[in-house]
Formats: sequence, C-alpha cells, structure tokens
Amino acid sequence: MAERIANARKEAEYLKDKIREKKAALNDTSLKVMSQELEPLTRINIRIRRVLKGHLAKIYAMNWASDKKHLVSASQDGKLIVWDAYTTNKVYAIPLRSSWVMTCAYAPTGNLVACGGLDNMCSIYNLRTREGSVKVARELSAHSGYLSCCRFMNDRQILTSSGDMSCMLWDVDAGMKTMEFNDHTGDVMSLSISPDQRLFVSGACDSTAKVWDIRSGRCVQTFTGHESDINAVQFFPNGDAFGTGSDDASCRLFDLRADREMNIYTHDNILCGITSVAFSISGRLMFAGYDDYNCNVWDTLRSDRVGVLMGHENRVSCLGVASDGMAMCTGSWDTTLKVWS
Amino acid sequence: MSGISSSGVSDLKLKRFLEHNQRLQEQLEMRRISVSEASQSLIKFVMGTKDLLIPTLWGNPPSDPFSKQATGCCTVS
Repeated sequence: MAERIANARKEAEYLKDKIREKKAALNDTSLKVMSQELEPLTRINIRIRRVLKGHLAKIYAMNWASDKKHLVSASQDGKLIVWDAYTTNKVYAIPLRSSWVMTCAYAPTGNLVACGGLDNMCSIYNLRTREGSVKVARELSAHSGYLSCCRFMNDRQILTSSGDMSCMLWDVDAGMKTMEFNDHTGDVMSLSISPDQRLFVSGACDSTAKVWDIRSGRCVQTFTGHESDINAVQFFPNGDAFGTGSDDASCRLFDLRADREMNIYTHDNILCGITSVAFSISGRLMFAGYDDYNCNVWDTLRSDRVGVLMGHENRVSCLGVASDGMAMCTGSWDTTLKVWS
Repeated sequence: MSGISSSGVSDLKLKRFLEHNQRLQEQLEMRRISVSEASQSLIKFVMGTKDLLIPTLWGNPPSDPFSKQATGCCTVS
C-alpha cells in the first residue's frame, strides 16, 4: 500500500513536469509584444455624463439591464434602486429585509432583480407584478456563507458565489439549487457568465480563477498567477478570455484556449486593491475600480494605462459597461453612481 | 469501537492521489493553443469590433444619447 502511494506521488510529479513542458513549448511570445505594432491609444476622452444620487450609504454593487438604459444598484442603506441612467430618474426603490447587501443583478428580460449579502441568501424581486408593486418572488437559501455575487442566466436560472467557497446554480421558480460548484479553497468573490452561457468563471480568495462547465458542474480550468484575493472577474466580450482584479494591485487577462495568463496591468505607483473590472464592447479598454477612489482605464492589448477616471470621493466598489458599449457606470462608497461616456 | 483503521486512512489517501492524478492526466491531454495564436485571435477580435468609447479609432456616435435634448426637458415660456 505504501508502495502504491509512493508510486502515485511519483506519477503526479511526472505529470506536473509534462504539463509544464507542454505549456512552456507554447509560450512563444506575449500579447504585449504582439500588440507593439498597434497604434497606442491617445488619452481617451471619457467623462461624467450623469450622477445618480439617492442612496444614503455605501454602494456595494451595480448591474446594467440588457436594455442599456436601466441599471440596479445596491447599498447598505438597505435599498435596491433601479435607475434610468439617462434621465437619472429612480424607477423603483426596493427596501430590503437585510441591509447587509453585497451584490445585485438585473435579469436579461428586465422582469427580475436579485440581491444578497451577509444574510447568505439570494433574494429575487419581481419588478413587473400584476398588481404593479415590486414583490419578493423567492429567497434562495442554501449557502452557508455570505453571498458575494449573483448573475442571472435567464428568468429561471441564476448563478451565485459565496463566502462558503462554493458557487451554486438555482432554479428560480422552484426556489432550489440545481447544481453546486465546489473546488475553490477560499471565499469566492465574483463570477461572470460566458456569452454563450456554457461556462462561467469565478475568482476567489485562494488567488485562483476557475472556469466551470455549467451543465456538468465540473471545474474545467484553473488559472493561477495572482498573489492575493481575486475580487473581480469579467469575461472578455468574445468569451475566449477573461479579466481579473485583485488585492495584489494588479489586473490580469487570462485566455481559455491558451490556458494561461496573457497580460498583467499594473504600475509601480498603484498599491491598492482592485474591486471591479469591466471591458468596453471591443475589449480594447479594461476599466478597473480601485480602493484609492479612482478608476483606471487600461489598453487591454498593449497594457498601457490610457486614462484615470477621477470622480469619486471614496472607494469605487463596482462598475459595469452597458451592453451597447455606449456608457460605463461606477458605483462608490461615497453613495453615488456616475455614468461615464 | 475504534475510529478509521490505519489501513482505512491509507485507502483514502491513495484514492485522493489517484483522483488527483486523473485530473492531472486530463490537464495534460487538454488541447492548448500557443500564446501567438491566442494573441492574434484577441487582436483580430478587438480591431474588428466597433467601439464608440474609442472615437479616435471608430469615430463619434451619430447622436449623443446624453445630450440634454435626448431627455426631452420641457421649456416654460
């Protein structure tokens, strides 16, 4: 028996060496080098176009609706607010049962919004009830830790990530989990669904990002490289890669087909953690929200920093780009959201 | 009643090693593309997708959705 274990150990070492060899053989250049011949972007001209005021405490999360006009924000003042980003009108102000909210999401149809946090639950709200008022449709309870992120696949299915180190897929109508995703060894902080909805990527406090097959529940790839908690993950627009933001003060780009880190976005004078990341519609720009109150804009290909969006008076806790790529919204602990274009 | 016997512990250990090796084998067999191929593909997508947040490359949008006219303010005469 001891011999069998020793053999298994040896085989593991052998396999790891072979994997290293294979990967090294494919490491023929870098994205940065291949992008050198592209024209550098002159400083981008993105500025504040709208300020959404109304929350009374720190904003922790925001999510655009698919109609590119509305967005939902969550604040520890115990409210979810649905805004018209162009008129700045508040369409709905939804009081929450638990004010310790950490995430919110807008369903693609616009019928539902969801949120969750230290209550360990994902609460689903129906915006379009027959009576006309917003009501709690479901409270999805099964996580044993805080809800860090939730994202709708459609009105019937929602994915959640948790401080209990797992992710779950839920049937909203049935109010039950249909799949559990276990492999992380630290709190899972963020998730992003691939454009074709077959996969999702998660980032965790174990410094890894994992790609999961939604149907089978299996972790199909694990990406290392970050040196601290990953707070944010977001798929690149074509689904072949994803961006991450971490407490190690760097953002990185990982490619699924190459199975490796492609680029790192960092600067000697950036010492604080990243809370949120999002791509512009072509993927050329990567927006990242930082603890130092700013949002840095990176050239995803050349890895140059092409802009610093200063506009908040406290940490930028969340951000997102609308699906038509026309506007970007940042949310902050300073209680405001700002829409940039 | 004793707890797990020492042979039980070894069984579990071996099982975990074998499962781990199975995953490593799958990782070894996984098809990967080179960094140059992946980079080329990403660059091609980026340069071929219209992005109105980068007017220097793609021009300005036909109308500005954030201009005051778009919100339809009423005037008081």
